[in-house]
Amino acid sequence: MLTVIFKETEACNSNCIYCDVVAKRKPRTMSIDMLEKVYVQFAGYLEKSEENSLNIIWHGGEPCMAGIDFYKKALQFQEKYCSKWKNRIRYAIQSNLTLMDKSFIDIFRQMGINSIGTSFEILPRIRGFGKSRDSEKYIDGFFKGIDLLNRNEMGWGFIYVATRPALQFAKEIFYHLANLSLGHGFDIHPVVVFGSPAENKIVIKSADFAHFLGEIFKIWWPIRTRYPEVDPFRNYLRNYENKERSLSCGNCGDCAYTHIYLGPDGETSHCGRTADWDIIWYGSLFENSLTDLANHPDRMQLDQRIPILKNGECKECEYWEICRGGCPLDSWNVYKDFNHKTEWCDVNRIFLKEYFEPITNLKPIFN
Amino acid sequence: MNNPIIISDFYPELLQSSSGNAFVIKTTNPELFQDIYKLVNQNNKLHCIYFSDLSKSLSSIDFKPEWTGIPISVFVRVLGELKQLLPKLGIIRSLNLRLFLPAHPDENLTSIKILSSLGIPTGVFFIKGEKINWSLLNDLMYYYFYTINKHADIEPFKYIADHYHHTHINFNAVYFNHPLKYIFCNKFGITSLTEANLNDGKNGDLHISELNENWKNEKKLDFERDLMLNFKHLNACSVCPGWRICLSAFKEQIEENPGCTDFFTEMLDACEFYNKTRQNKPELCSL
Repeated sequence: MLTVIFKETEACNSNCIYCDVVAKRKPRTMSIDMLEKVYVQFAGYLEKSEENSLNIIWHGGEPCMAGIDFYKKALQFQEKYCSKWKNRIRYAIQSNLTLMDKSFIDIFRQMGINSIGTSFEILPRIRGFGKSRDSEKYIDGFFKGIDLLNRNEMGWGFIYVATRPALQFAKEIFYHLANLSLGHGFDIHPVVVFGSPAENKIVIKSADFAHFLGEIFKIWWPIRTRYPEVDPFRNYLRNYENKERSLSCGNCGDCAYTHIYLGPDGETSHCGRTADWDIIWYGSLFENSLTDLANHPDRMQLDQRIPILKNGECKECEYWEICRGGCPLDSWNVYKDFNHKTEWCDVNRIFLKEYFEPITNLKPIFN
Repeated sequence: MNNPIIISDFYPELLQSSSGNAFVIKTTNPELFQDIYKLVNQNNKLHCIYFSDLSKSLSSIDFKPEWTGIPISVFVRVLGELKQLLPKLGIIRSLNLRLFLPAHPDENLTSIKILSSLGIPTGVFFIKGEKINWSLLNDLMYYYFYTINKHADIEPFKYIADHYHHTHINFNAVYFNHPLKYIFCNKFGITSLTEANLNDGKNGDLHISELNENWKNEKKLDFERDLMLNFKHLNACSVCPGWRICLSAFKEQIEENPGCTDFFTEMLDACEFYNKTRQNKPELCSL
């Protein structure tokens, strides 16, 4: 399955402090003409082989900024060009929910989406509207969005992006999120900022994030049955218990041919991060077939990374099976080269060694 | 019957015109208990009589054998004279009663323990603005959950333990104040979510004949939306480990009397212990 990170618009009504899209570009939105051409390309890709399928993630910016007509047209074009293969197209969406209304929910449901991914931040001036980054209004809008999803039986789950101001509030943030989520899961991520500018007040180091997770894990472990769906803990546990090898895209080690970014003008890159950071460009979807772009020769450099790391920096690392050297972009961020392990390596090393393993008594023996 | 339970004063005409509903009837007059029981059960079902008189003590109430079979929740100020109450124990035990005392004054918590140990179902309730001795309340909670001596149920502890399934729970249900279970109604049959709104004439809700499952779902969603308002900032309630069984019930006094955090946190552990113990109770051989 090819996952398409579909950046239909770079426009966003929020001004999140860590967002590369907001910081770097004048926002562009894909035109309806281009959208039609995209579906023609999708059809070509799906027709080529029964093996081909698409997982389209509406990503943005804020997807709702593209307007409801954009998504109505997307469905029309799907019907027009891809009706034979529409069972091989899946959709997902990431939204800040503050512009969500029933018409969006209805159209996303028609696309087969039954849960919307979002993010939540409780600390002030991290996510918010306008220059002042008004987080109060943002949270009001977010809660209205959640209420609307609940009333329309649309599921939701959120990620929490840990920034430097969050580090001193590990316990408080955990309980706040756990209480708020009321049975929905959440996932804790570190903030990732391209270039790690030293002046940036939100940047955290991998060791800081490891200890942040550790402090929360100490709380979570004895009461995990109360809050079962907290990641990355649940995910680590499954892997340690060898119940499944479920890895995030950054740790899967085989993303070379699984993802493609599609920008508002039809430009393609490897994924959201490579595009936001302006690192890898595969060419225009209107000058190349999706099949060619999905097999672009530049992808090989990512594929080659795994044996290089396995026999090099990560040789004999006991966490190789659940890390695979981490996201290649993390390596690029530091070395301008993909063939190093992630700069977040310490998260596994410190968190698992100092917190997870002593507390759970589980050993890193992976089948 | 999936409709909410209707709470109203004793309005014979309303009861005669309604059918198939469950009612909680509020009264401060024990002389009416039998009439209420008979009239409600003609076309409807009596869920409970809600007798509340905070000028009274338990010992001053003339419990009558004629009340046998009538579900009654009694809310009074204090236990009163134990000497006066003890001769009535036989009758009290034979009735379908639950006796509630407020958490303040402190001696009430001892009274509740005594009543429970005597096999009488009891409960503690909370009056807005009255300070709660969380340490003593904690002792009572420990008594209820951990003591191995036989004792009767104490609310809201039993309700919380019975209904806690790792998600949030509104213990105000034991005081007939739970928007998903109960609805208030005036003599015209017009409903309101809260008693305060009913008294202020802020109704605008449905007539009892219009209540249905859709209504319940809407109220559930309203309730969940209102809960989210607790999470606009980091605050003592939002970060409380015990929030899911308290739902900010004591947020107005948490700054000056913060013991509720420890209390509800320990109560979560107690609930889980209680339910685990109940599940794992070994079956003894029959003799």
